[in-house]
Amino acid sequence: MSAVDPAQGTVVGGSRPDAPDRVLPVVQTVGLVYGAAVLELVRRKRLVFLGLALLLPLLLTVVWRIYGMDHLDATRFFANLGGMIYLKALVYLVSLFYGVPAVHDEIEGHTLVYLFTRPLSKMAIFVGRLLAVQTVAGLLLAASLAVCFLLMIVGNTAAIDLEFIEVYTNYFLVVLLAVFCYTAVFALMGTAFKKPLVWGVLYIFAWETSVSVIPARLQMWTLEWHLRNLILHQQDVAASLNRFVLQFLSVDYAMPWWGSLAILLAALSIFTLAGGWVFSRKEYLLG
Amino acid sequence: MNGPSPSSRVTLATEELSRWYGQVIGVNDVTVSITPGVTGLLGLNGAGKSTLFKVMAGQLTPSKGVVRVLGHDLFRHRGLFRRIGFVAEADALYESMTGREMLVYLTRLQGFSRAEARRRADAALERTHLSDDADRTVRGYSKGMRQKIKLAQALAHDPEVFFLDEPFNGMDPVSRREAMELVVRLGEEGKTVLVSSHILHEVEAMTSRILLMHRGRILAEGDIGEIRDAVERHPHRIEIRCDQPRALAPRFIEMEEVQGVRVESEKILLVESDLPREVFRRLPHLALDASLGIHSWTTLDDDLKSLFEYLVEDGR
Repeated sequence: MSAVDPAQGTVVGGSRPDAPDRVLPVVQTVGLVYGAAVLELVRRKRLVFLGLALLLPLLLTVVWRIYGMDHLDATRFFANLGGMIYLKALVYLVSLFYGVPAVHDEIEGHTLVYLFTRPLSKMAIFVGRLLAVQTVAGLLLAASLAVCFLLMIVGNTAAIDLEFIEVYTNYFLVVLLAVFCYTAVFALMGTAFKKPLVWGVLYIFAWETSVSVIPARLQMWTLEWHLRNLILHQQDVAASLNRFVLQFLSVDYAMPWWGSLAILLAALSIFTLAGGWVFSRKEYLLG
Repeated sequence: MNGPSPSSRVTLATEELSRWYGQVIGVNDVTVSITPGVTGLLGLNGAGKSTLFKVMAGQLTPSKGVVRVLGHDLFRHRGLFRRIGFVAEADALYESMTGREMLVYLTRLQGFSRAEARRRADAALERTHLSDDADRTVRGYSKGMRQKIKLAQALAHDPEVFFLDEPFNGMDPVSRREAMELVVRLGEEGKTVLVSSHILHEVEAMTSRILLMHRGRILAEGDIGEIRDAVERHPHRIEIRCDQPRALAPRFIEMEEVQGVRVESEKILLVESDLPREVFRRLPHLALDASLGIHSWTTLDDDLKSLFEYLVEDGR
């Protein structure tokens, strides 16, 4: 915040306010776009719809508390819930409905014209909007997981043991990492395709969920395989998993968990940069 | 009339600017030089005005040619957007924000601090007569208010160059007049304002400097009076409503500037003249003759479409 011209008002940055090369600093652009996007996202009806979807695991937890505690302990119940409901359904749903519109809403709504007629880096605009959807999507899932945790332990403190805390923390972190990765993938689709929702659904069903269970090395090219590889089950927990869940959580090839973590973080960075690159170069016909 | 306007300070210029979409040419070899003040960009729907605006305002890259804003190539200096105010034709707004939130956000994106952006947003809201509705969500705005908030976001950072693409569409007469006065004031303040419209009298009310666009090209450039004079070299049709068209016809036949007279109906006489101003000058005197019963007269060729038809014909 240095250049202050009484006629121009307070401006941010060090060079002349009217310098033709001077775009807004990247961090400032990301921050402003992020703030506005979060505000916009929390006011959308989409939040209510996804919030309702995220009640499903809570409902199942209540059912478990009433009928299932004698058959399945907390650790095993949560491992099933995390694998079947969160990773196989809710992560995809939330990522798709927040990732695709990350910038596609601005393109379709033609409001992008306001951002493109400001001295802003297009990459920074993309990153700001992506971070906003990742924040809201991550908070939604984190809130659902937190409420789920409370429902499981309130009046049932005996359920809390080290194994449960490990499994819960493991799923919590993997779910968050998954939603960050998938929103970046879907945001890239939102910048590149005219019907990104269709491409997103295709990606989920035709690639991630199908290829990741094909018994060949090809499955290692899916994000889901690496996410599964991060689920650090104890043998007895894995043995108790529902066969359906186990099918999706089994990993045929060996790779250390940190290898998968590195690949997922690299994928997150690559998809983010690729989305920003496409967004910066593609020409959108705005009004 | 063709070629750049003479000026000591060109703030906005294009050089051999073309833009095509596949096989379709949107803008074709446009070279213009625009100086501070209001310049009207006139053209029929589909003439290429919006494409030219989008290219000049940096929204579409040119297929060929250069856009210079304040002497710099716009596509090499994104920082120039600090000095540009753009009103797009599309009815696009941040629907979930209030008018004030939207303006503060967009002004902060120009590099102003929160407090300064707030002050500027309030000033822009005041200038566009939107202060009373500033805290309502944009979703509830009328069409006219939506146009005003678009104008306000272009004003708030006090740019030197404005691109206003059909800014008065959907405004009620009072808002339209206020907005047109605002545009005139911007011109008087030394801003460069390029405003597009397909309504001739709307542009005439703001400026005499126009660019006429037709099929992607600049058909004519300059003072609207000069263009009108050029148009007036062609015969104009003047429709006169009167009680005695047959009695009135000989009075026109004897005028040198009249090329033809035709009785259209029992109440309408059609006069063709290559000097319509002279005919209009004489008409009030004829109207004083009560026996002719002249009720009204109008030129059938004073609309934009006719203007283009004449100019296209003239260019052949």
